[in-house]
Parts: sequence; C-alpha cells; structure tokens
Amino acid sequence: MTGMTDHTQLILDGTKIGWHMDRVHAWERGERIAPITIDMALTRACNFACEYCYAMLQENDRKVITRQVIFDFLEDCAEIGVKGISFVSDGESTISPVFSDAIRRGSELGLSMAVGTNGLALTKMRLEEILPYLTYLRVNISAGERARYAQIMGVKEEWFDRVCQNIRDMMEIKRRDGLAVTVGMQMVVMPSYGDQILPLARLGQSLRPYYLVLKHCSDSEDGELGVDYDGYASLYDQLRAAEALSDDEYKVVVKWSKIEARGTRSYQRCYGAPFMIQLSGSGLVAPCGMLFNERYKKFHIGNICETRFKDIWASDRYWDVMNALASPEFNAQKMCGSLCLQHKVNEVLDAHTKGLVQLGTPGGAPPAHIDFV
Amino acid sequence: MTHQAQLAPAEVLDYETLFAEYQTGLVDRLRGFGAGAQCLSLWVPDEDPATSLRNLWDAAAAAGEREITVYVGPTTAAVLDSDEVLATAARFGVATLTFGRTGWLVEVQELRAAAPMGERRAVLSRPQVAVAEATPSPATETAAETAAIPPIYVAAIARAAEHLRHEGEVQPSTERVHVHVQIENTTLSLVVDPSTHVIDRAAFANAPHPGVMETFCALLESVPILDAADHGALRLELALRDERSHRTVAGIVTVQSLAPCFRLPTALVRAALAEYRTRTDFSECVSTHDPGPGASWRAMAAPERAAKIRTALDGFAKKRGGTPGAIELIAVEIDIRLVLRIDDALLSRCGARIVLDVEQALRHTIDPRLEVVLEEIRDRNRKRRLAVVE
Repeated sequence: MTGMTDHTQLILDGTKIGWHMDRVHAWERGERIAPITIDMALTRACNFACEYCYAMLQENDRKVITRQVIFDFLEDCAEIGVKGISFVSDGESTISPVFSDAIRRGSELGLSMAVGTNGLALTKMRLEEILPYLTYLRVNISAGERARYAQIMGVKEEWFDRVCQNIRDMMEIKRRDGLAVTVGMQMVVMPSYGDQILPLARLGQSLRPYYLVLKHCSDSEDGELGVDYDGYASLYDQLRAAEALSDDEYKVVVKWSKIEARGTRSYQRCYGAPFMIQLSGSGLVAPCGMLFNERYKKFHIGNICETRFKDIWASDRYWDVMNALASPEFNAQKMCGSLCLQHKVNEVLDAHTKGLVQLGTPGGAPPAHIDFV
Repeated sequence: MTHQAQLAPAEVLDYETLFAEYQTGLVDRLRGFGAGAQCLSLWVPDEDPATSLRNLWDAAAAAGEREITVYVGPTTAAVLDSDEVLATAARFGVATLTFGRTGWLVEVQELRAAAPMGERRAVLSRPQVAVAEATPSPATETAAETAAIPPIYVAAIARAAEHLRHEGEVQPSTERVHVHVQIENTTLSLVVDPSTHVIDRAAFANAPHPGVMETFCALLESVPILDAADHGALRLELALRDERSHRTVAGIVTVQSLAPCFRLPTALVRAALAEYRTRTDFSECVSTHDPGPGASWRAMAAPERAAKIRTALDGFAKKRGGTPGAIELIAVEIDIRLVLRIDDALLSRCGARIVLDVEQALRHTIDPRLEVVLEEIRDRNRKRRLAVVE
C-alpha cells in the first residue's frame, strides 16, 4: 500500500503529496519547508451570495491586497520554493483589480497558477488575458437550472446564462489557441441540492469543460452551516448517474472519499499545513481557511499587506503555529471544522508517521496539476 | 472624435466615484458585492486607469448595453493620454471624447465586444528550488548520537530519574492482558484492560535513559493502547521540554524528527501494540481518544471555574504589562472552550502570539484540556447570517 490514490491523469479525489518526496523527507528531518501549494484570495468580497458559503464564517480584519503587495508576495513564493498558487479561498478573486496581473506575474515567475471562481466577471477579453497563464480554471456552479442557480447562489437568473456563456468562451479560446489550461466546473453538493446533480451534469455535457467535480460541503467545528453529512447517502444514486454521463472528453467526478467520510477524521494531528497553507483575501496568513475568523487569532501568523511573505515564513511565529497544530495538544477531530483543504494530505502523512503506509513516489508519469497537492 | 463642450456629469457614470466605491466595497462588503451601476455588474477596475476604463467598456458590452457615457474626472484625466483612451474606446464601438473644464466625457455607442489585443508577455524560466539532501539512514548513526540527550530535555529527564516508580515489572492479572516486549536490553511491560483497551499499568527495565522511560510509563497509564502507540512519543517529548517554545528542530516536531533518545520508547510502544493485537482480536486503527478535562475541573461549579480563570487571566495579564481585566472571560463553551476578549492595547503590544501564550498558561495552571478562542467576528452581511445561521 502506498497511501496514494491510484495514478490517474488528473487527480480530483486524492492527494499528490507522494510526488513531492523531497519536501516530505525535509519535513521529516525537521527542516523548514516551503509550502508546495498556497490557496488564497485577492479579496474577501464576492459578487455572489451562495447559501453554503463558508466565507461567512471566516471574517477577519480586512486589508487591501494591492498590486505591489501581490507582486512582492509572488516573488517571495518563487524565491522560497512554493510551486503552485490557487486563487480560491474566501473571496472572489476575479473581482480584484489586481487579478489578471497577478496571474500573469505568477506565471512569469515560474509558479503554477490556478483559479476557482464563480466565473461571472470573466468576460471573453479577460479570459484572453489570463487563460495562457493558468494551469486550471474551475468554475463553481452549484445548479444546472436558472431558477435554482439563482436561488442557491444568491444572484439574478440571467447571471446563469452569462456564466454558461463564459464557460463556452473559455473552451473556445482553449481549443483555438491549443492552451494547456484545464477548464472544469464544480458543484458544492448540499443534501438539499439533489435535484440539480443530473441537470448540472447534463449542462456540462453541453458546455464541454474537461470535468465536473461534485464535492461535499465543509462545515465549522460547531456545524454552523448545518451540513447534514448523513443526508448525502440519499444522493448516491444521483451521483452515480451523474458519473455515468462521463465520456472521453468530459469527466464527472464525485469526491467519494470526502463524502463517505461523513465529516469525520482518522487523525488528530494536522501535518498538512506546512505543505499547503491558506491566505485570506484580507492578506491574513493562517495555516488553514477554517482558522481565518478572528476567533482563531491564536493561529494567525501575519499579513502580507504588512510584512513580506518570505519574512513571515521564516519567522518563529510561523513555525510555532505550525508546531501547535502538529503537537499532541491539538486534536483535529475536536478542534477543527470538517473536511478541510488539507484533509487528504493529513490522512496520508498521519498514516505515514504511524508506519501504517509507506509513502513514496508512485510509479508512472506524474499526474497533471502536480503543483497543487 | 474629440470635442470641447460643457459637461453634464450628473447624466453620466462618474468613473472616479465608481472606482472609489468599488475599492471601498472590496473592504466593506462581503457577499453580494458589485459595482455601483447595474450595467457594470461584470466590471472589474484596475489600478491603471487606462486598463480600468477598457475593462468598463468591455463589461458594459458583455452585459448587453448598447451605449455608455463616462465622465473622467481631472485627477484621472491628468494621468491618461486622451488619444489612447479614445483609441481604446473605439475598439468597443463608436467613440467620442469631449474635453471639459474639469475632465473628459467619453461616450461609446453601438457597443460590442472588442477584438482581442493578442498581447502576450514572455514567460520566464522557473526558479530553481533547492532539493533537500537525502535522509541519513539509521544505520549510519553512531552509538554516541543515539545516547545523546539534547539540552532542552536534560533537566526534566534528570528529575524523573530521581524517583523511578515505574522501573521493574508489572504484576499480571487474570482479568487483564499482560504485554511484555523487549528491544535490545530494554523491556516495556503493560497491563491492558481488554474491555476498554486502556493501559492500567506500565513498567520498564534496563533503559539507557531511565528518566525518559519513567516519564513515558507515567504518560501511558490510563491511555488506550492505540492512542499510546500513535501519540505517546510526541507527548513524551513535549513533557520533557524545558520550555515549550524550545525545539530541537527548526521545522516541525514529528516522530521522525524526534531526538534519538525517543526512538526506543517509540519502538517499544509500537511493538507492544503489535503484541497486543496478536494476543487479542483488537483491530481498531483509528484513535479517537480525548482525555477530556481532569477531575478537578469537572468537579468545579461554573462560578468557581469563572473565578479561577479570572484570577489566572489577571495574573497572566500583569506579567505582560496589562491591568486586571485586560483579558476578560466572555463565555465557556462545550465545557472546556473559553471565549476571551483581550484589551486592544495589550493585543496590539503583544501580537497574536499572546493568545496561544494565555492558552498555555491556563492549561498549565488549571487544566490541560482547556482551549482558548476570541470572540467571533460575524459576517457583516446580516441578512445572510439571519437566513442561514441564526
């Protein structure tokens, strides 16, 4: 057993940590490793109001990420050895005035750049600017019908048409220019959204992105969003039917491993954070998005609007916080929200440290998007 | 086409106002954010006003608008080239730029999506990432390295070695499972309750560092054997540090990066778990053990707990230069989670570090299971919180 998901061309339900064994070995030796992947936003704001939005639980002291701030940050990332940066996190990065420049600058510095977005503000002109520099672009779209889209995502019905058109434009530009970017769609599935699983999977058949991923919804440690993890079982038939709509060029992928985990964790230590950290759209550097709220200030490390990231990363504060999460006084089963970004990495590293799996570089060609663990 | 004319800014979109409102909204609004004008729901401005105006016309065209008129105030106009602005606007339709006394009026009719510019910048080569050196194999370590005790543990190990209450052998019991393992000359003996899989008693013999094994055995008692194997070594390491901020590695303390003196306890307890599995039908692999708060905390009534916490908080604040009450207890959640409010001046002076420090102080003086959080900042969009959370 390697502890890894079987190799596939694109891993959407697993972790790629095994392809970064140099960094795992350095971590085991107690060295200060740079994150492989950083998940961040360029703003806390969003032009949508999705029902399931976790960002409403992540409020913290806001600052503005200017062009200078993000350029300094990207340079620092390249310098210390970060490999991939995804603009996802707790705000809609495409509405930031520095979005396009940040994508291009990061790519020029040799970083793999990616975006998770609602897709509304990505007009064809802006897509032309950013798609050549992206590893992947994922559109969050949690319904396949106009009225339900408006209801679930808190917007006007006509915005559904605009987003669909933008996805068509993405695919047209990608094919026209032979770009490497992977365009995907993602549905955050709540148990009450079962009626939209198949309509969305069929919509994907028509829009022709590379994939549609169907994922669980995360919740806070106190279950503030009220996600009923037992309720997912009633959706299994629809989820399987959606998967069956896959074809050679369009994959419908269900994150079964997280859905079936029902919000539970097999581990108590959080080892994944040094490998993949998260930044809030406020510039806050924290180990994990679930810790963005001021409530968790004990884990707040710094802010890139005030301090260069390379200095934050090299500070004792950074490593004190990371060690606090890895220490036996921290219990991710009790002190964290459910199914965090680092969950799969945590699972594998925890099993590795306990000697339950032998973590090693899997055979065969490396998977796509390897810089996003 | 350019004109000289009187402007009527009230009839048109004021670019500078739109830009300022957009920037403010990025900070003040969370969900449902958007530009001030309905026709600009797709607009994303830019710090560069020329790009910002280009994006504005693109957004209006993409939203299906047929015409749009923008007033560009004097501050913005001063940094723009009017010919370039007009040329850019003309990519989106029939454009006119009118000079006024205090700015420009840019009108675009018959709006349409612009042709792509085709501008691409060269992609630089990827910076080299230093590849870490290979991990030294245990076989290359010398006996001296294995025996070495890092300075941060010396005092605690010496103290533990003064009173060896766990040295020897545990007494077998017919109702318990007796596990006995040996690595090199050192033995670890455990008495485990098979109904709960909790270690009743632990003992060791022939340890190279008796103080290490003494502390280890004390920590193992009353803990499930699976949890002991999973987390015992890390608990031991933490218990023996002189200061919790002192670590022997610059990065993360893991079982793999522990000092050599912890390898023997780690190997022994894992061997004990393996032996226990072979002696019983125990197959569980996921540890969910949470020791919970101690008996003393559980026995206290709420007012007594609050009083004890406030005394500890005042003492801690005083040491950090704060006044009594500078750190307030706001609530106690789920029995052990303390919601605190820290005076702004103290928080500003000490930084976020003070929150972890106060948690450690409370764990040390009151109960090791206590957690500290500050008050939550609520989502500023009240409507959403009312609809979804409250």
